[in-house]
Amino acid sequence: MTGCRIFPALLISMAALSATAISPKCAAQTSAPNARALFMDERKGNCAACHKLPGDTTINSISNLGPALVNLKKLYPDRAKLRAVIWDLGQAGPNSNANTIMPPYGKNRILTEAEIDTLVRYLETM
Amino acid sequence: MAIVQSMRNPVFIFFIALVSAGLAAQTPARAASNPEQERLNLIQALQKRLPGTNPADWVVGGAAFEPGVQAIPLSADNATNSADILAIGKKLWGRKFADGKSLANCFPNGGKRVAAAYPQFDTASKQVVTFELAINRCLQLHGEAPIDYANAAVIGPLSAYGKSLAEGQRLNVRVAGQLARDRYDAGRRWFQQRIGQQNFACASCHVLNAGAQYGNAGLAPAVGQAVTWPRIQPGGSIRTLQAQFQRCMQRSGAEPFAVGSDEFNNLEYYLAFMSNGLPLRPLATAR
Repeated sequence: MTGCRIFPALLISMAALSATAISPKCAAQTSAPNARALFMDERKGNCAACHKLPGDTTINSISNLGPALVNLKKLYPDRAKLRAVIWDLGQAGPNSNANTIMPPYGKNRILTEAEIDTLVRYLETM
Repeated sequence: MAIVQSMRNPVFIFFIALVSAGLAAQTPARAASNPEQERLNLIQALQKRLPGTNPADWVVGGAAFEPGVQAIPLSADNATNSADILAIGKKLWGRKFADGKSLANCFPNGGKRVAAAYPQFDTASKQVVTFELAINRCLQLHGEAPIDYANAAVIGPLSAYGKSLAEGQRLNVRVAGQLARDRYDAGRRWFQQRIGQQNFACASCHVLNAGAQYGNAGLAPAVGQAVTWPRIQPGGSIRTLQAQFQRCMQRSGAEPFAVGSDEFNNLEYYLAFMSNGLPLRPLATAR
């Protein structure tokens, strides 16, 4: 992780302000297996329970509770908006959905701020 | 987990009531003037979401929406070990108490064609009485120890057998009088209330997303869920409806209420009313 170290306290502060504060260099060094684990882990993201992820052929999900996660970089050119959806879709500005079944991963501390960032970077590649 | 631990805190309950207001507003049962109208509205909303289906299709639960499993037979005779479960239940049902009576003596017709009228509101105790509670009341009336609701290996077969005596009877739950209505309303509020770290409400899955695929399971519509319990789980164990409530609460990251609690009894009362008119099919293998 040389050159990409982010101190946890700083990371939390940065994330609270804007997810775009994470440098592109760090984004390139995202650990794909960790992100995938977060995506699959029933006690963490558990994202595959609701979403298909056609961009990752190692994930075989038949779920349709949420939309298939494709073209996310196009859909959310502003990383902060994608991050806000994961943090709490119920209060994600113009993308909000008050009736969503999607857990508020950040607000209810299901995922740490750093884990949300990892997921965001992973999903942007899908 | 602070959120889980604070579930019984009145301030927290008020808070989740507030945040669930939007969900409640979206759930069709909210605005109706009486339970029957709420039931009809809920059916209409589910049919809008699941075009071409009707409540009779929904009794198999999520299985109705899982590719390749619609053909699971919905009959106690076809469940993996329902005959064993019913045999255990029958033996318990007929067991003589110390006073020479048995459970059959507590119910009209020995229990035949009775279970479809449960849960009931008991004006004397001002409580919702589920079929399982009625069994325990009978035991206590005759000086016997009540059954621990958590003991699915006993209450499950007993409930299944008692309900099998009414198999095919159409559920006919009544909400008569203001006190009963209060219990029903309380059950509906729990159904609509978001809870736990995952922030799910019953209605999130079983109304707003009914029929969708969650993991490898279809989400069962709320209407029809009350008529097929107790159910046989993969592997052959038996689970009551309220034990399933507990699993749902755990899945939502909330500390479950106790089986037999007022909260669960009221919730079952509401959910059963929503299934009125559908035939009882205990021991279904449906999910």
